[in-house]
Amino acid sequence: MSAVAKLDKEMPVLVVDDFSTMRRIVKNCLKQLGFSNLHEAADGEIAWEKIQQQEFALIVSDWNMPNKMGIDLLRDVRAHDDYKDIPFLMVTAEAQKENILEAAKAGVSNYIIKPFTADLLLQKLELIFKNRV
Amino acid sequence: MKGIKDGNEGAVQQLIDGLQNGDEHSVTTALKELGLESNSDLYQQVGEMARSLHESLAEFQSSLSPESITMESTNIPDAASKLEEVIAMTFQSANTVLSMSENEEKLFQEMEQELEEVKGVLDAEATIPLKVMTVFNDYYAKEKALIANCRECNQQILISQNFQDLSGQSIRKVIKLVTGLEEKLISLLRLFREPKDGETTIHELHGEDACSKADQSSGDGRLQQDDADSILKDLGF
Repeated sequence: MSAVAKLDKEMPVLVVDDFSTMRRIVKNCLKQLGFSNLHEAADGEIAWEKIQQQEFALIVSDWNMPNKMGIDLLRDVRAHDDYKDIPFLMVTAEAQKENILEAAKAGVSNYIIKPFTADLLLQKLELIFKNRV
Repeated sequence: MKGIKDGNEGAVQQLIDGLQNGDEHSVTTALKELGLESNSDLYQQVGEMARSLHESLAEFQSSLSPESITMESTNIPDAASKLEEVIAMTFQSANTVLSMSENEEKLFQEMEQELEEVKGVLDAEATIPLKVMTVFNDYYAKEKALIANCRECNQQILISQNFQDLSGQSIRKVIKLVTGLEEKLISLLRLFREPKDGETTIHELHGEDACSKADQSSGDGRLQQDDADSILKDLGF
């Protein structure tokens, strides 16, 4: 059985993107994978507020957003004792080597370049969760 | 072409100092000494570039909005706002497709649920002839496969809407580039002459927000997912 299939599909997932279309797409993909407890935030700042108010088991975030960029959200998450272990998947159009290295340095769990497919999202989630289930 | 002459280092330094100190007189004097007066070839070429860009923007807007042909020639057409309209239209279309796709998913769920209900009833009924059950089971398997296939197609339709995000970001980069280039060309032209009363900046003409949402990445060096995966693999992901 795959790592994702073994996961608790009720676990709260936070989807962060300034484009509402992208939030809908990512949420729909996660629904297809069976996840039902989905939350969203339109930028890193709103996401950070939500993270402090509610427990999340996975964060899927865009990079380039107003107010607080995805990379800054990642750094905040990793710097906080209570949230540092939350899996953080970056889904972004930022496709420079430097971006990936920067995200890796900041502690990203994995990285998806837009446009992406549902299969790729599944693969990345498998990689993230294979050592956690 | 009349350009910067050898042995004019003093004038170049004067130009740099003048620019740094905001000393317009020094800048003008240095430019004259360097042969970069308003009647120079360089000035003419920059002017032509600015005019060409201006006319391209005008043509672009005309093609998007025929009624704008009647605009006064003194207005720099607001191509940036037209591009914002394109972003808004694609956003609207993408959301319509997403709504339809979500509705379809609900229909697939209903179809699947009904199919399971019928199967449940038939499985619980012991008196149904074996031949009928065989036909139904065959139908059930085909329907399940069909629904799965439709669901897969629907998911592809849904995922393909992420073009809206990418095209929006690309268009905003173009808006930033075009308005920035135009601004720089006009600024360059103004170095050669005194501004006239009532002259407005490009930002005033296009609106301050025209490119404020433009993102910060460049297209150069953009990696594919495979390259990204390779880097991630090297990093131990």
